Amino acid sequence: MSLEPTVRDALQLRMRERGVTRVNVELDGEQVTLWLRDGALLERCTCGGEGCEHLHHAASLLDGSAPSTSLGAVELRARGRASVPSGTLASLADALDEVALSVVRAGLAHTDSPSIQRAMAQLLEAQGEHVPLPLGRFVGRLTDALAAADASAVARLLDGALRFAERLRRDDVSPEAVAQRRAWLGPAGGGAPGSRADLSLLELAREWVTGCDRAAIERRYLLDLATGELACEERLRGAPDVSVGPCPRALTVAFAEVEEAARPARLRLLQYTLTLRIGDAQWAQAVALADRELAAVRARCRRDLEAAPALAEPCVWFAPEGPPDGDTHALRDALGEVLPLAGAHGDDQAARVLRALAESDVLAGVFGRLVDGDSGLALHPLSAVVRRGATHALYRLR
Amino acid sequence: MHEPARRADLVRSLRQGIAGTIDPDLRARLATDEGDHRAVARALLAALVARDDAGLTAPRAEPRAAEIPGARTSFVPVPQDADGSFLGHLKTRSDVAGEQSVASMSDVPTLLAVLRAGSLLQRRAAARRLAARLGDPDLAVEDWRAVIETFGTLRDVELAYDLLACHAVLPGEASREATETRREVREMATRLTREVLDYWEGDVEAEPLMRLSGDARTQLMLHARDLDDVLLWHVCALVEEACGPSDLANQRALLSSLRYASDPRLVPSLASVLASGAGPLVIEAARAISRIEDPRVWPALVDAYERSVIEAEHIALGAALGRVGDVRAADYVRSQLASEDEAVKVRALEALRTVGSADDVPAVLAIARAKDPVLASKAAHTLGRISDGRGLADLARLAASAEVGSVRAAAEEAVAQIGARLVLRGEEPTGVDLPVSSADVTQTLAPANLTFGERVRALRLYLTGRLWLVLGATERALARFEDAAQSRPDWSLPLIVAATLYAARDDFVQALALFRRALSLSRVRIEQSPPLIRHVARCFLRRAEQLERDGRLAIARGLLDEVLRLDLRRVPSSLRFEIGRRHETLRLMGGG
Repeated sequence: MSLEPTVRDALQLRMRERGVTRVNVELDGEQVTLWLRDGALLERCTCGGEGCEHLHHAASLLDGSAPSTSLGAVELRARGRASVPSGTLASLADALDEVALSVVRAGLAHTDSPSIQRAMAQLLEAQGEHVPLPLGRFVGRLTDALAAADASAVARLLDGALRFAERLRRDDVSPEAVAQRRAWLGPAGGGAPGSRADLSLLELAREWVTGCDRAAIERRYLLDLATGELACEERLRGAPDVSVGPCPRALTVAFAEVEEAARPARLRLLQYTLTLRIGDAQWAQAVALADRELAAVRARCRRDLEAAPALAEPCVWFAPEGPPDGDTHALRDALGEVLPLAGAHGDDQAARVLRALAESDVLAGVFGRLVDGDSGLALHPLSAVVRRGATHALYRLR
Repeated sequence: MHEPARRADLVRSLRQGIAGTIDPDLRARLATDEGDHRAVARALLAALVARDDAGLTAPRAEPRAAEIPGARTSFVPVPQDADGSFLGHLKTRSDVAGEQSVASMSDVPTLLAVLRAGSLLQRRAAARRLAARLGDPDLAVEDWRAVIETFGTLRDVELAYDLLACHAVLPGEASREATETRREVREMATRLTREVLDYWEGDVEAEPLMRLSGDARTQLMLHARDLDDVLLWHVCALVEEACGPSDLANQRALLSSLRYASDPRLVPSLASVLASGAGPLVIEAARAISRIEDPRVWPALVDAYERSVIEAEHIALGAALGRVGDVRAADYVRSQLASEDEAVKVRALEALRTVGSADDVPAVLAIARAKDPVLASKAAHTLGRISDGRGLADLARLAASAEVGSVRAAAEEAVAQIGARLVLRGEEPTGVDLPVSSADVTQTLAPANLTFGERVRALRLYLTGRLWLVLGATERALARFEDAAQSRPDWSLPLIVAATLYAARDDFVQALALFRRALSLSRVRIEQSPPLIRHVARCFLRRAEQLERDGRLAIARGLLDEVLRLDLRRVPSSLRFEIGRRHETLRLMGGG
């Protein structure tokens, strides 16, 4: 049952009068978002329901009236509970084991095997209607790796899944274990996220990656201009519960939640302002923070993969020495070490675009994800920053 | 056993699978005592990851191209019908000494022929090269005349932006219009950039781009390549719904306004729409992305094509691939031309413009003779793009005999394209009387038998109306114009002036009625006059928009059907495109 028109109108007016464009209210493990667009009030709840009890309670909180029902009296959809029943975790562990076993038994030469399909389906069915985004991403990566018969990627994903399953069975409730559960399951993993405050971030790239469906997850990559750390923000296609704005954008974040166990760390920006007016000083600062030596990149990549085996998708903000090589499509660092470009299409397309950009401007930085192939690390480039005299410009490659 | 060999063994085991009896050798290599599959699987995966982790910290050896994972060779288009002629091999630019390319061509008549008959990339290159040639002070007078004559009749919306540079150096009305358009777009862009910045900083609530009218938005995006990064980033955010979910109609309107943008900065966002598989949006994204000259376009289109299953989508993606030179969809598109679903048939007809060949001419000619003028126009357009001489005679007859302005215009344009193609092949059109461009400005209605006194009275009433207008008494002016029209029923000028006045104050109902009366008297004259036909087209569009808002879709579609029957070659590309786009939307909605 949607909001009463009088309640909606009053809320709309109050928000407009006070210059509030968006409000997030968290209750009972769900988040209700109310926002203004073209003067009209829109609402969404992470439970997925239309006109749900969470919405009514959030509205009553904001307008100071008493809620019509008690949340405890209402049957809620099973999502984002404060603590996760151990039975649920045990069945998740079993499902992950089953996926790993079915793949290794059938082999990469037979990825269309019914046992693999069945195991994957069971893993998703166990999550109900709302598959947690990180788990969906794991499934998407595994599906892509199986389709490509990529032994390295499959091994890393399944090995990480088995380690996680083992930990689930131990019923470990240490902060580290809970953080890892949240890294896999999001709020459905229980516990509480970490937090960060007073951040100055620059979005360097965004891409759509495979989840349960193709191009289901949008990921935005953020550079901390104070520390050089990379983080990301993610959303499902069509979902509004994420910060707004194009890429690139400069963000001043007063408060954000963070899943530290994810690699890169996963942020949820709750209080922020943004601008598209990105000054050259900010770009210069960003470029100064780029990695210039691949040895450090490799070491950090290895640490990330060890810390979050099946989930880590290490990325790098890299300042190459010149454009990609014409024959091998490789970038080089200051010491002459190579970082080849990789991607779904061999990335001679991205290499050509980068070379074209470098013809008229200086290639100041390339951002991308690191992929671990048979011959070592390669870069899946997502964006490039070029320098034209004293100014900079960002160019999205994907 | 050597380290690399062990990794290779592990990979082989993973590829082959361990179903059935576990190889004791494998168990030994994995150093696991347990014999069950679970334990072996765990050990195998852990061992493989450990090997890979060890390799991570070592510097990479110089890679060979073959090592690049998932390499797919860059696509090199092959001429579809093995066109061995000059045009079939003509590159847009070349660094090879002695190799012909559009960028190095000097001969103006040849460039003009390529401008009409070449592929999209060739036509664009020809437009750019012509702009450079027009800057040559030694250019021959005949060449200038040829350019002016061709540009006077060329209304290729795909080249609208590229032709601006040429128009800017040509004399006359076209140049003034081009300069004025550029100025208007610059002002709009500057204002919009400010509003976009304010919007994202929370100073403005309403998103500014979608508040523009459809034709204004299309006009702006036709000049995307000149727009600031900030505006393009904003457009990309809208395409990817980073402002929050948007309704389907709005998204379609946005994507269709990007159809001729041709800006590489849009590729990632458009590619994401292709990857999303969201039906009607995929069609619009395909149309837009295929017009962008960028190496990332073809792989994105191929991926989407291989995954698509819905007919209309599959055809649109096939057409998009054809536009970049990949004609894999040709047979499929041909088969859909016989579809009983009218919408699919129309899509197939349009798709043949990029994947069609000479063998398709008879089938398309049959459609060109259809009673439905929209279908006939589309078929004529397709024949022009296929550019085979077999259709020439029939098209010339159609151009001479068509009563509907839009059909005649499409047929004339197709004849010109085919003629240009034949010239580039070294052939000449034979046995065909090419139609002279319709310059018939005489009134279509037989002049009324009026006395001299009656004509003078009508003129006096008209001039009185103009005087009232100067004095600001619009109502009195309108009354005088109506009186003048009644006094002299064969005279369209008072009707046109009155209609324009009504349109200026957004009274499109009155304006429409008067424009219709004027068209019944002097249709060809109005079609030949760029300012007049622009007013007419805009009036029809605005009235259709009003009716659409009121939910009277059938009438709205009828109005657009009516205006699409006119020769709209002198209407600005953005306006013409918006009329076509709305018409298609209403048709798909089942309006009427």
